[in-house]
Amino acid sequence: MPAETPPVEGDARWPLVVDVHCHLGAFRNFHIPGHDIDAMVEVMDLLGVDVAVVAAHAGIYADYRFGNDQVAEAARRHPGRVLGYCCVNPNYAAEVRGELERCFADPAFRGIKLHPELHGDYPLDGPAYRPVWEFAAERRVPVLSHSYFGGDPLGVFAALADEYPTVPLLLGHAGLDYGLDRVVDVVGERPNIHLDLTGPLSWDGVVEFLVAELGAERLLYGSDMPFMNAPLQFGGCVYARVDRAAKERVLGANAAALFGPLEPAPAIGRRA
Amino acid sequence: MRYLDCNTFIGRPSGHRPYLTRAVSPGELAAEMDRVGIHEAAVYHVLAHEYAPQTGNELLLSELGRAPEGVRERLRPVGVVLPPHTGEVPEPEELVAGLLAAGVRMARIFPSSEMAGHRFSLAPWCSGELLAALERVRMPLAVDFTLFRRGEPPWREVHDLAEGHPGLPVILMDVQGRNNRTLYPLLKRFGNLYVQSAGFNVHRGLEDLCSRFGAHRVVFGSGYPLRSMGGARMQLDGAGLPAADRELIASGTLAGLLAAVTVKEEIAYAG
Repeated sequence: MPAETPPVEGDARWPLVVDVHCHLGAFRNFHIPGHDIDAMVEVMDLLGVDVAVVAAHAGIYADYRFGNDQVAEAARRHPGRVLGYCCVNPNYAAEVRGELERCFADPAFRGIKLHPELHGDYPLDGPAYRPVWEFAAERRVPVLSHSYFGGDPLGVFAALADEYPTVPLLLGHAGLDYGLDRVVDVVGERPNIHLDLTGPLSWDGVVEFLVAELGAERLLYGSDMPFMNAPLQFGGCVYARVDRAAKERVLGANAAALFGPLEPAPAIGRRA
Repeated sequence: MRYLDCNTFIGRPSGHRPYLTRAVSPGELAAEMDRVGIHEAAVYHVLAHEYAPQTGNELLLSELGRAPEGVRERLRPVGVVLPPHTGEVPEPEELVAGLLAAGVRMARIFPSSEMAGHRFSLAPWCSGELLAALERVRMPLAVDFTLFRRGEPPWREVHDLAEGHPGLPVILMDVQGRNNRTLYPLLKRFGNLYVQSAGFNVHRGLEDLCSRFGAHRVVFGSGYPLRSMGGARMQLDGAGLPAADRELIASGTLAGLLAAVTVKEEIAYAG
């Protein structure tokens, strides 16, 4: 019978927690309670998350400039706690490079988020996205791309990783829809592909499988907050049956190497 | 605080590589419950879903009966049920009596027409007698539409189910994350509708739902061994809710519903 007090996995303190897959703001499909950055930081405090890297919902879909401005403002409100992804829309191809320059003039922007599914299934290796890959290669900026059924096949991610070896390429949702066996084969051969665990953390055993196959170094914690419930994803990570050193890498150390330097104000930490 | 997980199964599922490629025994389920800090679980047999309800139900009772002390009494059997028209299961009154006699206090259905479902309608002309029999003894009914991640429950059927059987506690197992605009008016209208916690994957969703309808409308559940039990627990522990609300969700509401099942008519039905 379990003890009445929470088990150690759920109550542990972690040296650094970085959520590499966050959003911000409303989403058309449903009502998101508390989708503003202050409400998101409250959740971070409850969980003990130090840093969130945020791509606005508006940026991945409706209006990239509006969304990127929301992210910049959120980062100003919570310096060090909130970092930004710059979002671009390949349907506005002529504006892609300029928007990247505009965003990265602000040091709070540390990565680029692509969401081809919400931008007309535009192919990741299409010409309108080329400025993204070139910009990222020049500045060694991490690029996180959504992956999904019906989208670019895994081979496109592999080819882009090969073509731009200096770009840290974050495979959104760990490429779950491709089958993790195939993902492991592709990622194992390409050190610049990293797996964003957002979503797959809901499934029991995913972290264990990926750590066993790839090691913890290539895995990154993400929650999709406020698109999804962050504690549900966080629990999937901290309760995984892997050792503490692996969890520390997945939760924060790996992200710090990609998105740093990080100077988070201390999280308030989980409630007693 | 005590945790009662309303959504677990045992057995060997068809497979969800790499997440779940093993048969899960009652002892293994209990071991995970110990690791995560879950006291009790309502459990069905995966073959009752993936093969045939009656076969799976019999296997469940058999496996739980053989489970060691310290495991058996923590696992509450859930019977998977069907409407009676094809003769695969007894007529509803007999079916429910049999469940009660076997110690079952919770039922589950998979009515979806998707490949993973049992493909039957919840309309009165198909499921009315079954639902009435469950309602008569107030046996909580877990409704699992086996939705894919962007799926949407068949709201008309949910509406009619809740309206037509106000004495039947209906637990929606997989509301998903994108459905609160239609879920909320149903929760407002029907007090017998409940939501399984991990199936409601919404940012600050538990807090929002509880503030509008009360914490007694959410029932803790994980989906283990397919889904992460630790994730489900963290969802509740990490929610910005008062301790009293979390206790209701963790076990209070479901324990009350299970205790309220009418078992005294068991002999009359069986006879």
